[in-house]
Amino acid sequence: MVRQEDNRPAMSSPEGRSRTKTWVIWVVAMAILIPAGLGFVDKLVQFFRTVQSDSEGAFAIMPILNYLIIAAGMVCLLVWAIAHGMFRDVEGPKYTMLEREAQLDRDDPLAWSQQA
Amino acid sequence: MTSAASGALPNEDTAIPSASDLVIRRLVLWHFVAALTFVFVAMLAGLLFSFQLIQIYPFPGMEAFSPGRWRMVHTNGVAYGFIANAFLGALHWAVPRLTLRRVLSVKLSYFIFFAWQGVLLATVIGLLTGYAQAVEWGETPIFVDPVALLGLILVAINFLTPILKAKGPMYVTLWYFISAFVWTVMVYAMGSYVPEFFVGGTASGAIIGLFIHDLVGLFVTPIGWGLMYYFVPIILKKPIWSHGLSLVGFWGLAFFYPLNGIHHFLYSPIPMFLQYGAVISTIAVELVVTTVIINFFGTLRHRGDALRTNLPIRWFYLGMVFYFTTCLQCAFQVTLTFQRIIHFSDWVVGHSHLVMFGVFGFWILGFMTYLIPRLLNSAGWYRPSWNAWHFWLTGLGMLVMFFDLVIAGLIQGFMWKELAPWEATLTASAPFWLVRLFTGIAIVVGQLFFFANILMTAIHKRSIEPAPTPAGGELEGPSVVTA
Repeated sequence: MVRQEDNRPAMSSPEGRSRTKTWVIWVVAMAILIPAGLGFVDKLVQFFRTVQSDSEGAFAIMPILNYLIIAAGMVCLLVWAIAHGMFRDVEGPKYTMLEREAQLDRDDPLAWSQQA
Repeated sequence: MTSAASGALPNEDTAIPSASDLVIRRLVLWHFVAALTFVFVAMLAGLLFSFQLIQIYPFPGMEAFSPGRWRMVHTNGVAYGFIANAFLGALHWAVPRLTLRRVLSVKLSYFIFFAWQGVLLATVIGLLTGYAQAVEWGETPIFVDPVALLGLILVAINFLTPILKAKGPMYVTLWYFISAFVWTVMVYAMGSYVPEFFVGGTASGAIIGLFIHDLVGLFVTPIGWGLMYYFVPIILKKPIWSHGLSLVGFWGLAFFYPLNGIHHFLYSPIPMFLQYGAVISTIAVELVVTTVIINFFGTLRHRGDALRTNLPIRWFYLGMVFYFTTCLQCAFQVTLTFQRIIHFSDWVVGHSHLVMFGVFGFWILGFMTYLIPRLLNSAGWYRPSWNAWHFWLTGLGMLVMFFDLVIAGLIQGFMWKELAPWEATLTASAPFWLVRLFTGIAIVVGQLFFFANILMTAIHKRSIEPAPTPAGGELEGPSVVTA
């Protein structure tokens, strides 16, 4: 008997979170983001010094520029996703996907014969 | 008039369209056949090159058959002929089923198929006649690049249209696909044009480093993982362990991966802060990869028997183990300490073979094993045992090749460090190159089992007799009779 795990649990609501949990999330997030942010600023300062001090240092701009273009695009995508509620029911899509697959396979006589 | 004939699909709020309306099965099959044709050519090219290493090259003095040119056919054939074709086929299957919408244009899909094969043929001819660009993995002749870039833009438009029309929170596979379509166009444009026309010297080296790695990390990796997040749950009939964790993996890849490429040029004139940035972000990617691996093995919990009974799942999970191995290897080999030994050695060759074929090649062979009977309208494979031979010959061949090249690389590296004469390092490497040749032969023979099985399955299709729907046991199926 195969374990059935497609019973979709109820969507968790932000109201249900305890205050302690929220504090823990913020503390952990700051513990990661502050050192990472300081490291980033330090590297950025080094970058600008290299560009200004070395007559040929400007070549460092190109790889950084490539990274920043890609990263900026991803930041925009992340903001768009948050604004459109893509993370409200984080676990929901994995159940929807399986339900749709089952529906699509319902009329396909070959769908059960896929074992190699 | 059917909905398919009218060009419109039923509203997803009211009805689920039929799978045959959504997926162009013939095109999926064509892409798979093209992929297998190119992987066979690429493997023969690799085999040809490996003869050169043991000094029995069969075409001495023939410029078009020189090993250096066939090496480029080997790498470009795998990247753009095998992997790109197989991914395009799988995308034509997965995207419409995930979004419940067809691609933007079926005609465009057919056009892309023929145009892409034209691009590949022009690339092979260009490389063999000496029109390669000096960009590793991007040797595609300069006159092919605009057409290839246009093709990639058309692919993005064709698949992004149904994805962006889909409603509600997206499944992680679609996140990976969206980013891959955008990244691939950017990466290909960067690698093909920036070093050629805009920058030179060290900056060009830095860009080429980014291109090599971004081609793997921002084209192959997101589509590969996206397909794993699709195929593994539907074959196991079980949702992914944590969708939230899968999103952590996706966004981690998005922000850490793009700076990795410069780790190809440690100890170069590139500023040290850039080199250290690449080292740190590469190690960060390893942490992200660990979350992805945990998620997939969490999904396998209580279903470990699938590794024994289900060949596609076995291909997928062996590929994942190899993926974790390559990333772990990467986290160490990007340190300056490791680079002192392994740079330019066969260690790197073993690493790249494991990631491009041992990971993504295995995933491709896995979903082909799953889909091809269905695409051929057959209820099963002609000889399942031939698929087992395919798996074991390919898997063991890859494993032995990897360890052989890693050990060879360490021996070469330490001998170079000790300033041993160059001839002495060649003599020490020769036995490893011989083993490499035999592992390559094992892999090619494994593919022949697969090709023969596909051909015989197409000729001797199996029909299906109606049987009661299995109650929860997905390994049971309708009874099968040979036509």
